[in-house]
Amino acid sequence: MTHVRQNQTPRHPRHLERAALVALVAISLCACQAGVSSSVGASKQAPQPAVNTPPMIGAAHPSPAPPRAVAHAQPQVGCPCCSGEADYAKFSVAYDQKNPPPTATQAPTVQQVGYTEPCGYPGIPGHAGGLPLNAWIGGPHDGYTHPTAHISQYPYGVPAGVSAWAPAGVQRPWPHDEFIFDGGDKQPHVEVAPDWTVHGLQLEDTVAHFDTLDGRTLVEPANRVPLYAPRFAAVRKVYGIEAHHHRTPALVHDQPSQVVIEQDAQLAVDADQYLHMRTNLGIKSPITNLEERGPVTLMVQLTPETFLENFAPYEDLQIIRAGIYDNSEKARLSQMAAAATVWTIKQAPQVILDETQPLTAVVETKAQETVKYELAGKPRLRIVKVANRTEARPGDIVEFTLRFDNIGTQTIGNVTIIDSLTTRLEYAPDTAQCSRRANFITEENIGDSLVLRWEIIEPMKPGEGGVIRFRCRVR
Amino acid sequence: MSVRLAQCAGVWAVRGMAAWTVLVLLAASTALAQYRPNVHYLQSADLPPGAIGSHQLLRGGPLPGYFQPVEIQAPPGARISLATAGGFTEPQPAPVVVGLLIGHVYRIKVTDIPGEQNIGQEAFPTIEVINRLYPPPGYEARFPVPVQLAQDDLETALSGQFVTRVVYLEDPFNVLPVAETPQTQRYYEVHPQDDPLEVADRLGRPMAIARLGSRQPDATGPSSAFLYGAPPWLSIPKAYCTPVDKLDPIREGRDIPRTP
Repeated sequence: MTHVRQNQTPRHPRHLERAALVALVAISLCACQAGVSSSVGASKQAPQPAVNTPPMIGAAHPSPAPPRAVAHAQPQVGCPCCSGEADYAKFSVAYDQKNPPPTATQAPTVQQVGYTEPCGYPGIPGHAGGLPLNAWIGGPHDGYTHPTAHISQYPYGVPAGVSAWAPAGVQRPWPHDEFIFDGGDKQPHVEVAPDWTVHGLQLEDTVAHFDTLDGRTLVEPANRVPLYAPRFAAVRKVYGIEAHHHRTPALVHDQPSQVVIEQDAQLAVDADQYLHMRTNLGIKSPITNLEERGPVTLMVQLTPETFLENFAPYEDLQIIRAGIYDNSEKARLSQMAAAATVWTIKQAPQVILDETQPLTAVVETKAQETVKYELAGKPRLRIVKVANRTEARPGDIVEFTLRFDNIGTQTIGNVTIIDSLTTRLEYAPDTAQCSRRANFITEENIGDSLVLRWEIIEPMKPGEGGVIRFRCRVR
Repeated sequence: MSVRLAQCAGVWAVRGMAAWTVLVLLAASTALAQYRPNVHYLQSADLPPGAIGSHQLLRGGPLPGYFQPVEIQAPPGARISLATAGGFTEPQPAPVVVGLLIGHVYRIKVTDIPGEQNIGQEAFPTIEVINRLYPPPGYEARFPVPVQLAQDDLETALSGQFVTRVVYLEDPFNVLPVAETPQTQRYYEVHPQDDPLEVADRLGRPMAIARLGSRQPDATGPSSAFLYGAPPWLSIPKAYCTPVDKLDPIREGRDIPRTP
């Protein structure tokens, strides 16, 4: 105590100099952090990784990446007008060096007729004498000479900075009416009753629920996968002489008519005479007893027959193949999950990392004696969803892959994965696969689509996981 | 004296509250004006061609200068020509994918319409793009706005009537659970007293308006007014519209690791 007071005595000038130096360093550090806070803003909100996080059980499953790293997967939203100009120029030069200049027969038939007015976005200066960078200008020079030129107008990939326009401050993907989504857990969230009845399951929801050793049933949502798939319809109106309403006068009038015939009550002509009974027939008991039974619930349980043990290119991710979250795959995973912004929501970091502390359950407490049952570890299930494409037209087939892993330190059971497809997605029959033994059940949902349900038969030990695949046709 | 002071203080307090109320209302009205829905309640499909698109350009956004890919569909066998300066291009078999500017009116010519009664007949519909899509970069031509000129539309127009088709982007949360292909397009017929633009606004986001059955070109050739000035357009090669279904080859030789 005395020492503390001695340290709080008036400072020596050397102390003042040191304090000023420390203050300057602190101010500069704050300025640096403010400069980068816009790009890693989510990292501040993400929970800090626990220092005493126990290692994962299972040598093949190292601990996942901290959530701060996940936040870096968000794409940088910059000026779409200027940010990618330099890269775009590099791309053009590289392309010219690789391929000879186009001939007259290879050149695209661009019919641009004298449109040279500069234009830009509101508030953003446009490029002098040209269109905005992301305006459709008819293709990349002579993309026909490249064998993959038919994929898009960027045969060597989209140059950096060239991205779809979106208003500033709006979370992508945007606009929402051009996308269909699958995955996540919308409000109200899914809850599972003690009899495993699922409540709150809506269209697009993809969740997994499981039972823990201490008798709880937990629900874990998957990430949300957007799919660019606009669909169109039309409203028609015909103008013409047939379309006019012509008011015609009534030709027939309903006139109430009076009663013409009156029916009088007539006396009865015939009279039946009662006859006495001659024989007495005995009452016989029924021979056959038909019993009515209530309807029997018919539940079709389909077991996935086969599981193709080959990975598609879009599944070539460590988190899908082995359940290992690799930092170097964040960008590709974000692309496969179709939006890096998905990983900035709070659910994903909370799923991946959380403080793993022993759970204490007080079962019996008496006056002189206290008995405690301690269940070490915490149950956790991670479920990741990816799609093999980010865009689709009506009629296209989209393949989804779900990777689920027990990343906790307890064995979990009754793992059930539920995917309620949106209206625009139609499940392709007999395409469901599961790498673990499971019952596969389908039932209709409110969107005239299906709810896919996988009931994993065996409990999952810590570190175990599985893969589910299925295909959908875009309506 | 104290009573007068209290009265003055009360008056100033009321004035201050009124001023704050006015400021809050002004701020709220500005915010509401920024987030108003993108609908066309002040316009109707009966307006002259080009009026709705030009109003759309005044709303701001990256609309000016953007060539929205449009797929002009017609019955099998029909051929389509687009307006250029002083005439029409060589007829091409439908469908034709072109990039059209938003707010301009494009005159097209449809020939070789199927049907014995349509031999030698020509239709001159107009297309007006009033909004755009925001697809992933590089996929603009793969997702064009389909403008379907159906057989019934063309024959109705040739019989002397006027057909207006408002193509809209469906709201994904309010769609019919029916399977469709890019070659088919559902349409709703509205009553004569209804405005198809308003109906399309309620069902989704209006993207383009096609009008069939208007005037015919003069005998001396199409005038500039008939062609609406022949605004510029882009011919998009069909290679850019090729589906990418077969672009994902399956790699073999890697097994899913079985969990221990």
